[in-house]
Amino acid sequence: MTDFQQHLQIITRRVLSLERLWELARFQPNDAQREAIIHVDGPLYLTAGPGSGKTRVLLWRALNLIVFHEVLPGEVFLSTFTEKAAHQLQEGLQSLLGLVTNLTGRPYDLTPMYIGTVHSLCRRMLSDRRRFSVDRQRHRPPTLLDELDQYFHLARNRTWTEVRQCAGLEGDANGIINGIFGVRSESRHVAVTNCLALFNRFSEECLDSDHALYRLDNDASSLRNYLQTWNLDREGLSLLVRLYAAYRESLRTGNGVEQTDFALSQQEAYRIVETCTGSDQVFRHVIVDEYQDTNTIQERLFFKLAAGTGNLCVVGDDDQALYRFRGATVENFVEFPARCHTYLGRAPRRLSLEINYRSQERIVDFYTAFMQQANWAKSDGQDGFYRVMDKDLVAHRQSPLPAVVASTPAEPTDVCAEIATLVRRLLDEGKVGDPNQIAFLFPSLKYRGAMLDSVRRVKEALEAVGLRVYAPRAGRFLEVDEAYDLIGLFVHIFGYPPRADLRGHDYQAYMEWLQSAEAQGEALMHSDPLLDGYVKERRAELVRVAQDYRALLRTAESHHWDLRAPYDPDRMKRPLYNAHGYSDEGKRLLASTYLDRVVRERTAKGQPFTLGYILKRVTSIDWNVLDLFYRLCGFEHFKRMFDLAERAEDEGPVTNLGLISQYLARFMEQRVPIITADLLVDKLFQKLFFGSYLFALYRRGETEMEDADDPFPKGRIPFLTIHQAKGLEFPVVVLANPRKDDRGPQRVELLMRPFLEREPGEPLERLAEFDMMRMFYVALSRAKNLLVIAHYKGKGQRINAPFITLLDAGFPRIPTFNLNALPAAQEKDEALPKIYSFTADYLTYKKCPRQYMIFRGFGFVPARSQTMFFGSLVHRTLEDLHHELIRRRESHE
Amino acid sequence: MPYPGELASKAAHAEIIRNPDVTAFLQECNYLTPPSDEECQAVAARFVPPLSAQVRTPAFVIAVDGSNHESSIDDKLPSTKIGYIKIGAVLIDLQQYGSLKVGKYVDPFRVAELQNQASALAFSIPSANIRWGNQPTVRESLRAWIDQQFYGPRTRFNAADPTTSLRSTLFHLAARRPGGLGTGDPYRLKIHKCPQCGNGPVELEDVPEQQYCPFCGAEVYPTDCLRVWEEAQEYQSNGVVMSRLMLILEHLVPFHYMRFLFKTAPLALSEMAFFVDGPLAIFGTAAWLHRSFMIFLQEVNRKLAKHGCHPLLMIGLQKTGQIVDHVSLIERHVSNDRLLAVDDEYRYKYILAGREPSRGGFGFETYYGQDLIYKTPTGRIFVFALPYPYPSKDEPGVDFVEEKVQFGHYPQLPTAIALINQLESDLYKNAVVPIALAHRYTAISLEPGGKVLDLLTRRALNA
Repeated sequence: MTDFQQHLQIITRRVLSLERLWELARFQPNDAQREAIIHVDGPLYLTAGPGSGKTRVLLWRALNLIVFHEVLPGEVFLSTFTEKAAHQLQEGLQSLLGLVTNLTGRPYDLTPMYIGTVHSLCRRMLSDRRRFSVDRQRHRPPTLLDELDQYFHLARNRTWTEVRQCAGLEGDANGIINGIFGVRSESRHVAVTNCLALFNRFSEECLDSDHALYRLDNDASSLRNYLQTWNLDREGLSLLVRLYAAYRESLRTGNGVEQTDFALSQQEAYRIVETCTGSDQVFRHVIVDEYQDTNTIQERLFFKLAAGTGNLCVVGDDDQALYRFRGATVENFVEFPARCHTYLGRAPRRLSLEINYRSQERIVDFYTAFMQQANWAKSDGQDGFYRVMDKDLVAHRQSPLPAVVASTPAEPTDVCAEIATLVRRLLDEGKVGDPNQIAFLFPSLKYRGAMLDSVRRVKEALEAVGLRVYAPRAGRFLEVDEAYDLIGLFVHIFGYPPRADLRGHDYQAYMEWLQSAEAQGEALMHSDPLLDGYVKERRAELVRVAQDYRALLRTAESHHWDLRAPYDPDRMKRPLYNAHGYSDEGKRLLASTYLDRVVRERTAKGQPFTLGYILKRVTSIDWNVLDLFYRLCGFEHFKRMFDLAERAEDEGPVTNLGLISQYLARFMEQRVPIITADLLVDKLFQKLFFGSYLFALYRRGETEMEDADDPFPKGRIPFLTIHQAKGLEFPVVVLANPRKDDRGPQRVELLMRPFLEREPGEPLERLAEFDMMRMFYVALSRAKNLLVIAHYKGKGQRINAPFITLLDAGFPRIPTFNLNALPAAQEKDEALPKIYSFTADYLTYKKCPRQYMIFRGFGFVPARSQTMFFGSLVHRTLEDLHHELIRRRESHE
Repeated sequence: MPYPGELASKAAHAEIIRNPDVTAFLQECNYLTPPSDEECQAVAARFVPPLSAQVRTPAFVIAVDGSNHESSIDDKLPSTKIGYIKIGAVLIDLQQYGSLKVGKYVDPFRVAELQNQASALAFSIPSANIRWGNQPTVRESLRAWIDQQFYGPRTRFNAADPTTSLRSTLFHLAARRPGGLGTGDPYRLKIHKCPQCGNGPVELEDVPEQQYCPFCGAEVYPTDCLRVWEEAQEYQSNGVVMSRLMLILEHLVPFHYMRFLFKTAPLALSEMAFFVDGPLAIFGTAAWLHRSFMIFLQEVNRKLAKHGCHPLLMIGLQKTGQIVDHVSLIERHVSNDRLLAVDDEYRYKYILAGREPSRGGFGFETYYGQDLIYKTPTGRIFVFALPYPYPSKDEPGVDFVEEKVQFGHYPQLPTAIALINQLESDLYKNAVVPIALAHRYTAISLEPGGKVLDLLTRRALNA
């Protein structure tokens, strides 16, 4: 080692300290944060109020472990609730570790780190043969179905019939199933949707079908009482359990490959951890964010993973538990100390992050007072509470100025107008820089796919003062203008699907939507002759290939050639070439020397092409739906949308186009990757695309796919559900509907309870109230500078009880609110640093800034995804080879 | 020159004294005279208290100093000489240093430990009448051998990686050279002309292979860009070359550290201070380096600022020289804890005895740092320099001569002062501890150091 090298080592070893890193990152942790970051040994129970900087704490905690405690990135398991949060944490950590590298020269690779949603981590565990398999011989993990895939799987004719038959259900199955869910409908869509909601809950609670059926048949009086109290039918429950068993079987055997869903993949991961020796010590630290939203199987998994080390850190806020409908069990968090004792044999260290860095003092006071309006005591309070009670939230931004204001109690139209005027003033007077800094939050935005009247009123009031709204979850996504435009042009190119034998409101509404889209497409073509010409050319092309296919088919039939027989060019080429009505373009394809060569090669290998394949090949077209999408985007109407986004005037249209590209990519991936003429002959393509895929999206009211990075386009006011707003913050928040009716416990919860193998937790009759309180708490705590509450009054209007109490006569109202005292919203300071990659970001931007904006900024899916698929295939094959070599080496040793 | 055993005449100087021309010459000479008390007070009034600011002293100091010695290979051949240069870099952990004081005193054993964290580069130079390898002349030997030593594993941060060598650092600096001789590519440099045929420029790459002049085919070396070969003598002492090379190395070594840290752990640079002996200037044939230093420092500071870090601290501390001489004259008139940035007007008037100002301001072709005079609260006086806050002296819209003396342009000034206060030494006048340690570590004493080197030279060459 040279003297220089020795000097370097001395320097880089000593310049590093956590405090120095905090200084460089301009982070000044408070005492609780500091303690949470440096806690290393044993379980940690971290209660974190809204805006208390828990994400930063998690970030620094992970960094502290990796940099200062020799924990390898691959020994950290960090679970987050959303992929977005995982992405942010990973980028933040990478950036901070980059800082460490800049100080010490030591590089860090986060690739082995387990960071992501619990679903993605489970999936990773299933394929991590190195650490979670003894012999590296486990089969390829099952294909994971997301919610939409799951729906398509079960709703498919064949699967649905098989599942019903397996469950012993004949006749009016849909009506019977829907009846158990309390719905009078014969719709398969409704039945499938309800079943999936329950099946997922079953999976999350690790329901064993056989055991459940046994209990139903043999259980004691408590079950009878329960069924009687909630008016449930034992046979109905039994049927649902059988359907569940059949659904699981369908995943195992259907489609030729084993499939799984999110909930079941967790079960499988748990099973692996249970059976694989040493898997409880793979991770030296298990860290779980948003622990209040974990479900039973997740809780078991986390404790199992941490059993070997005891290092389980959970972070959460029971007051922000929102996802009961997805199986979340808030008791997992509230009762964590006791569970810790049970599973790990020791009590966790409790730390509470109570300083709120987000909101003005008055806002914090308001939502703290709001939560005190409910009685959280278990029975008489002797047995404790359903909530972590010893919290003392303190605002970091102390100010006596009012920051919470309500509208004048009035009829909805007047309230909306008053709020719209206030919003206009906030913008005009520079209190916020862009409309997307003002969020309107609602308990829900739509009902049965259509925008609620209460939401529409607010939207119209805002539009009346010249403001535009971005409401991706209000109404169907397919009802946005851009979807009308695009799908309308698609209708003109591909033509209508054949009329299906479907009844019902949904189908009628869908067909009307399709007609409107077609009319919109026509208007666009009318306004742009170039577009008109392009659409007609594509249409003619499709007609031509369909005619060619028919002509070739007729020739084959006239010669009695079997389409499955090998293609024999010497015998078949000439008659096909001379087929009556076969176009010149088609002839060129058939006569190509390249095709001849390929055919000869395949025949020589003993793998000749079939005649059917050749007919498809010479009549296929060289573009797919995504190509078509991008070509249409090149026309003036759509180009204007990109120009608007580029000038940062209005990003809404391009954001919507990005979402459409994602839906089209999914269609290609799952249904029709290449458009061939045989699909066009009997309008099979139109059936698949318009009649099945788009219809399913339409009736499901698909709205879920949003840009993970920046979902709120500039220039528009975001309308969000409160669930959607979780984890976000805005300078100004308008709670536009402080009303959530108590409709009792959800049906799925009622149907699930008899099968629970754990303590049931919060009583059914109080669930609705607790959930309402937590939901509004989330809404109220999103505001930074100003919280505006709509106060409706009048016939048919009401707001929930806690608001009635709090919005008393002395409460600040909009007309008397002094806007001057309100601080101007600061430009959003990126809380966590973002990492830009050299190839995906820098080089793409350098190549073309607009392309960068489209693909990286708005999440458009590239049209030529085949190359990526091939890349993945190569990668996975190499990985397989790698594992096989290691396995052989180990077995040899 | 006397013959051996010959004694000089006791009356030989009488002719000089009696020569009227000599007397006339002495009477006509202009020279610097000690200022009067009034002048001293006027000068002292220019000193101001340094700005008080919260500072964060660096974690480490690296002090670099050099020393050289020339040995004759034999008493019978006094005109055949080998030169030696030693460049020492002492690393001091300031936290460790702070703990050395026990009460009023410093623990001498632990000070000695500090010196153990020192590195040294030893260079040998073929001087008069010495040829190396197959080289035909002293000049060729000098060029080849210097290049080899700059490239050698001992100069590398990673012995196995030649791109971490001192020569690679030279490439990085030469690439930043403004004008036609800069390449902008840290793996290529240009020498202004081939030392053999005089044609140029010649572009060279940072590769291990020998490279040749495209014009004449002679061997050329990347280190030729330092142009020390221009002053090489075949038959006389090459003391000038040694001095030049030592000066270059004293400045190059800190930049060697900086370059490598900048590449691998750039933020660590904000935790460090570099002390070099003398003004921040490069004189002679390699003076062009000063521009590269300025550009490089600017790049480093830009990166550090991007991460919210303090600028890099580099201090040139002068133990001797004209300013130090001047300071000794006015010292008693200057109050404690006072600071002065030496501007051109002051320098030409009080220090350089009315010399004609040079184009573009003092040190336009050589200096990369501003000289400052500081009298500490304890009454010791230091002449030190901080790097100029600009990448060039021709920045558009900047009156460099005016701007270079504005304290506000030196954000690291308070830290430098705090550091000098912290490190002032009782050991030597005008020295801080790191420089004193570096000096002690590096200095080759006449006895026994010089004698031992003489013996080494003789034994090695006679063997």
